[in-house]
Amino acid sequence: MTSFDKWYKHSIESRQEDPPEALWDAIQNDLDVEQVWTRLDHALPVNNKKPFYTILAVAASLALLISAGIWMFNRPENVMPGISTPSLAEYKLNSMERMAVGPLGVIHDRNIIIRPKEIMITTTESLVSQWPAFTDMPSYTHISRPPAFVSYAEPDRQTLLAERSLPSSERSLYADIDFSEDARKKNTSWQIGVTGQLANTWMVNTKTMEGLQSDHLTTTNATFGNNIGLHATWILNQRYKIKNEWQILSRTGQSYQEYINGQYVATSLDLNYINTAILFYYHPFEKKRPHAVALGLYAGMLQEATRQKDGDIERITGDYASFDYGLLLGYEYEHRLNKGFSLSSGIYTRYGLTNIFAGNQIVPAYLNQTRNAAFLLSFSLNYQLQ
Amino acid sequence: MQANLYSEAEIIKGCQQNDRFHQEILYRRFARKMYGICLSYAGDRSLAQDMLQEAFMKIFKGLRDFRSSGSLEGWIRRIVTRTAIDHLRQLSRIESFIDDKQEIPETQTEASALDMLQTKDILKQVARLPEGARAIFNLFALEGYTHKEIARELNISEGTSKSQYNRARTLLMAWIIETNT
Repeated sequence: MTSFDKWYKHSIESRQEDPPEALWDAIQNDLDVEQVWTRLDHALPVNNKKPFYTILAVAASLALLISAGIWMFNRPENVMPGISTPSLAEYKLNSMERMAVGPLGVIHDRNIIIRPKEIMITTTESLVSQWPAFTDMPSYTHISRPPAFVSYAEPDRQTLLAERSLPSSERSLYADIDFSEDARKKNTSWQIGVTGQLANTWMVNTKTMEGLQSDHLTTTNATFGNNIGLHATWILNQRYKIKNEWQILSRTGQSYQEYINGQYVATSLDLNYINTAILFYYHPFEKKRPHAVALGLYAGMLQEATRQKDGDIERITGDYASFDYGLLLGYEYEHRLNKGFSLSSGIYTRYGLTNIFAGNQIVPAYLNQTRNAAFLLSFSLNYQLQ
Repeated sequence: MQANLYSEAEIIKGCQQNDRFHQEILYRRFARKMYGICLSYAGDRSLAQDMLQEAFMKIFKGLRDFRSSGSLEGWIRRIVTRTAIDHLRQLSRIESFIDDKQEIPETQTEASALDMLQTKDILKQVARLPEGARAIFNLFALEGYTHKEIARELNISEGTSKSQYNRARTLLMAWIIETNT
């Protein structure tokens, strides 16, 4: 350090200029804010368990949905839609027994539908005596079995059609099956029903997402609602169907715990819609046909929006857009009941593609972009129209 | 307010308890000197006041964990210096240096001649230096940093620190002598 440096240092440090008094006032203001915030932070009740219960609720919902899906997927095979439920108990037949029942001899194992019917199994000796040409059929399989009442495997249509010269007495076994070529293509039918849904709804926006963080003062709570509606389903064929659904009551919402005017209160938003949806179903598994995956679109018209704050309800319909639309994705299992009735259970997810917040005098729409989302557990009672 | 009537230990304890009286005593005791340091870095009063305000808020917060192992003034001064440098960095001014092409007058000042220099316009002359060069000069001359420490603090090379310090010192001397003659 040179002599000039020392001189400079002394000059600066010995200056007799005080900072303006306003500077100390500003520092005091900052200290006051700092101390008030520290007191507030310690005094106000913050829900330290908020993330735990929210996560627990979401996990329980997912576990229930996944368990329901696994249970439905692993159920024993059910009959195809359009065919009545077996009135007799099914017998588990091994492949040999399946292949060699009935007068036709050859029964292809693919696409077999177990359909109980009381028949008499004839042995090969009696078959030969009745059907001399039987021995000429390819893949002829011998079976020796005493006559018994068992469930039999209905042969596939190709095999049936190859044997159009069945005697009329045998035709009675297949009386309800139309052998014509056109009948094979005519698989369409209609179904109507009522639908009820339990929905875990989410209004996805910045406030909701911040409320899921443990260090945020606002807490987002898991919210549930109910949907009720009617549907009409066009069954195109064994693989595809189209469902049109009208929900006369469709609720979405979100609840929070937040600080308002210095108080930690419960608030909730409830939006009631009338929804319509169109869903395309596909049965991906050849053998497990009751299972189907669905993809579709929904559109909703807002009926009413309310905000409940610490027990007080306020109508805020004007703050939300009149229309909402979005995507639906899901899985369904259909369980056949008697006389054309069936029960469908499914899990779906719904996500809106538009901002449902229209804005108000304080907050414009673009500053609170909100999307509708939900996880749905759905049950439908259906009736097959002949 | 007689800021010097209270011991450092008493002031520290009072500040740790958020006692406004002791906080003001601390402020009154060190504000003038620290304001001068801020002025030497800032070059203008408005920025110097911002620096000082922020520095004292850091001082009051930091006092909660202060352990009196060293000098209180030294600790406060370090905070003030760091705050001043951070301010200049945020304003993107810390990298403004004396241009290589700037003419540096040759000046020789005898030690005895320094006594004749007046300090009234010293801040005005310091303010003429680019912020980066000013910061380097202050860190060396005021705070006693080595060029290696300055280089690390400002993220520059040691060579740049040395050259800028020499240029700044020479310019300052020339300007101060010029105003005093």
